[in-house]
Amino acid sequence: MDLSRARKILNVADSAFISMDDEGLITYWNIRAEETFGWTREQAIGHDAIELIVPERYREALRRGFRRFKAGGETRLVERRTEQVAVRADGSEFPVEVIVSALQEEHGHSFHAFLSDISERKAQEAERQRLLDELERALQGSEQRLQAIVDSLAEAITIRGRDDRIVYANKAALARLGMSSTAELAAADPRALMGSYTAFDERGRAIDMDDLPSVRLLRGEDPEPLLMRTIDPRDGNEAWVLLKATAVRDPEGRVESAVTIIEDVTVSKRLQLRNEFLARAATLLASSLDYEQTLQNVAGLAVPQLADWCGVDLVDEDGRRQSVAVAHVDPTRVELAARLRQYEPEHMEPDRGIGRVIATGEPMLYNDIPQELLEEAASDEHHLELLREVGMRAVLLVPMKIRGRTIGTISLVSAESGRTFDPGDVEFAEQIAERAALAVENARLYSERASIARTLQASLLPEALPELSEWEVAAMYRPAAVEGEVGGDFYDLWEIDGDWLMMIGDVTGKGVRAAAVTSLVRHTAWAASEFDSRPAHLLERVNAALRRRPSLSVCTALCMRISRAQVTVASGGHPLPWRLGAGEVKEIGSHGTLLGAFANAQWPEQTFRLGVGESLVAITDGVTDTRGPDEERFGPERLCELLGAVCAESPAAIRERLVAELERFQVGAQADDTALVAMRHTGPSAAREKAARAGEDVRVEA
Amino acid sequence: MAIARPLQIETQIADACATLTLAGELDIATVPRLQEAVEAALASDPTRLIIDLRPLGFLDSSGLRQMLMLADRAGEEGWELLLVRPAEQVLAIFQVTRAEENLPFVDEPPLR
Repeated sequence: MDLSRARKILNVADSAFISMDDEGLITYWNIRAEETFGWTREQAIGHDAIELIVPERYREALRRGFRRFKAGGETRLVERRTEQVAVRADGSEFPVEVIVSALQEEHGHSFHAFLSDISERKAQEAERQRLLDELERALQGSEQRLQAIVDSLAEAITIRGRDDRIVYANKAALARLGMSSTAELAAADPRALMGSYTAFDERGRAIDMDDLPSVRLLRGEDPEPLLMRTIDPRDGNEAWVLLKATAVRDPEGRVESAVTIIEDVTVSKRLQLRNEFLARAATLLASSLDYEQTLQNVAGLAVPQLADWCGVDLVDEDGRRQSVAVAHVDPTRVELAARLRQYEPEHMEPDRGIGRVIATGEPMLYNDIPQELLEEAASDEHHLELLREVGMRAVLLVPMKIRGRTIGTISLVSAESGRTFDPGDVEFAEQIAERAALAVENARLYSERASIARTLQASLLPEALPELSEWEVAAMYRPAAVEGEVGGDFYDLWEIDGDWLMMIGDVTGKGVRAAAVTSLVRHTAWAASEFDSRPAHLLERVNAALRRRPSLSVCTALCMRISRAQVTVASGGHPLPWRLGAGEVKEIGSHGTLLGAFANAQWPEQTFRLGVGESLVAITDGVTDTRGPDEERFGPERLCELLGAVCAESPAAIRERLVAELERFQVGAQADDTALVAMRHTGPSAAREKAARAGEDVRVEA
Repeated sequence: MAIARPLQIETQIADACATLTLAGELDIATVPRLQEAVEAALASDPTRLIIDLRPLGFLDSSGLRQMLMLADRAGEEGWELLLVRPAEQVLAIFQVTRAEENLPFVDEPPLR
C-alpha cells in the first residue's frame, strides 16, 4: 500500500495515529494526535514517542516490553487493545486506549499506534461502578425492601444518597426527570434538577428541595408523604405526584440513603380537585345574589388550581365589556392584572380575544404564546410592556353561556407556573363558566324582581300619612327578610265625609299574587266607603270581592272609623286593636270572620269614645309571631306589657319602642311582615300645635 | 330566609281513615311538609282525613290557610276532614278569625 496515501486517510482519522521507527522515534503524527497530545507534527517528528507521550513512571516498563517484542518475545502491547496513561504537552495525564501494530521492515520493525482519549468513558465507568456499589449497599441486607422496589417498578423510583445526590433512578424516574441515564442524573446538581421543575404543594406554595420527603428523611426527620403539583417546563404539562420516602439504613442504623416512590396521581387528583372546585363554586354561586362578589369569589377559587390568574368579564345590553372580577395567586399582582385588563377594549372586536368568544360562543385556547402574538395584541408600548411583565404562557377563554346566549367570558391565564392547558382543562373551565352564567342570570332576574317588588310594595302603602284633626298617627311596615317578595301586610288611612277610615290587614301569602289581593282589598274598601263608611260594611264588601275570586283568597283586616273622639271598630279575622288608657291596656272590639274564607260570616261593630291622651295600637300578626329564643314567640302578653310601659308616649315613640323590642327579641331572620298603626287622641285644643310636628310614617327596611 | 322549623308529622292509615298528628310548629316554613304528608295520606284514597292538632305548639296564618284549603278540597273531592281542637294558644288564631266555627273541629278523634 502506498504509505503516503494511507497517511492521508489516517490524517483525518478520528483517533490519534502515530508511527514510529525501530528505535521508537516518531515518523508520523496525524492531526488528531496534535489535538490529543498538544504537540504539533513538527515538534513530534523525530522524537522518542515514549518520552513524548508517556508519563515518566511508565516509560521503563514500556521500553522493556518493546525490547522483549523485538527480541522475538511476547508482549501484550502489540496487536492488542490496551489501556494506558498518556501525558499531554501541558503535563496533564489522561487515560488512552491504545492499539499498536508492528510491521517487519528491512531493518527491524516499524510501529503504528492508534490512541483514543477515553477520559470520558473512564469517568462514566467509574461513576457506574460507584453507583452500582452504592445501589448494592443500599439494597444489601434487606431482601424485603429489594422485593418491594422490584415489585413497584412501574412507578418512578429514585434513591438519594447522603450527599443529596440521586444515585439511582429507574426508567420511569429518568423519563420524569428528563434524563437519559443514571450517570447523567448522578452527575447533575440535585438542586438544579429540582429547579428545572416548578413544583407546588396542594395550597399552591412553591416546594423546595428541602421539602422533599427523601431529603427530609436524610436529615433525620420522619416525613409524611408529599403530594406535589409539578409543571414540566418543557411542555407546560401539569402533573400531580405523591412522593413517599423510605430510609435505607446502614448496619449502625444511620440513614444511608432514601428510596422515593413517585406515584403519578394526576388523574385522580384532578378529578378530586375538580369535584371539590365545582362543589365550592356551586355553593358560592348559590350563596349570594350579589353576583359581582360571587364571581370574584369564583375567580379566587380558580387560582392557583386552574390558572395563575383568572378574570371574569360580562357583556352588558349595549355589548360593552365590563370587567367584574380579577384574581391572582399573588394578591400583589392583582393590580397588574387589573391594569392590563384596562387595555381590553370596552367595545370588543368580534374576530379576536374576548370579543370572538362572545361572538362565537366557543372557547379559545392559546398555548405557548409567542412574542409576536403579544406584539400583535398590544395596543401600545405600555401595553406590550405590561403583557411581557405578566409573562403569559397560555391563555384560555371560555364563554359564559345561558340558553345559547353568551353573556360573558372567564379568562384563565397561565404565567408564573408555566403550565399549559389541555382539553380536560378547557372542558372543566366551560363547566364552571356555565354555572357562573346561571348564577349571574339568576341574580339579574332576582334584582329585577326585587325592584318590581319594592315598587309594588310602595304602591300598596300610602305615600305619607295624612293629617288628622284631633289625632296624632304613626305607622310602620317592616317587610320580611325574604328579599324580592311583596309582603302581604298593608295599612291605609283615608278621609270620608270629614271622618277617617283606618284599615290594617294581612293577606295570607306573598309575592305578586298576594299583592294583587292586597290591591283588590284596598280598592274595594275605598269604593265601598263612598256609599257606606261603616267598618262592617267595608269588611262585608271586601269579603264578597274575595269570595268571587276563583282560588282561595283570604285576608284579615281591621277597620276603624274615627269621628273625632269616637272610634268604631270591626275586625275581619284580624287581631283586635289595643286601647292604651290611663294605666290600662286592653284589646277592644269583637272578633269577626276572616275575609274571603266562609259563606257564613259576621263582623260585629263596637264603638268607643277615647279620652284625650288615650291611644290605639293596631298590629299585624307578624308582631306577635316574631320568633325569639327557645322557640318562643313574642306573643300578646309581651306586647301588652310593652304597651303598658309606653301608654303615655307619642305614637312615634310607641312605634320606636316596639321596633326596638322586636329587634332585641328576634332570633334569626324576620320571617313575616310586621305592620303597626298607632294613633293618639290629642283633642281639639292640640290640633294646631300638632300640625307643626306632623305625624310621619316610617318604613323600616329589614 | 325561611328556616325549616321542627314539625313532626305522624301518619296512621287504617280502614279508609288517615290520621295526621302534628307536633311542633306549623308555619310558612313547615307548611310544605304538611302538604307532602297530606298528599301521601290522600294517595291511599281514604274517606276521612283527621288532622290532630292537639300536640301542636304554634300555628300561623299560613297554617290557618292550609286548613281552609283542606276544608275546601274535602268538599270538592268528597272526603271528610276533621280537625282535632288544639291547645288554647294555637286555637286562638281560629277564634280571632272565627274560623273555629266554620271548620270541622272535634274535641277528640272519633273512635271509628
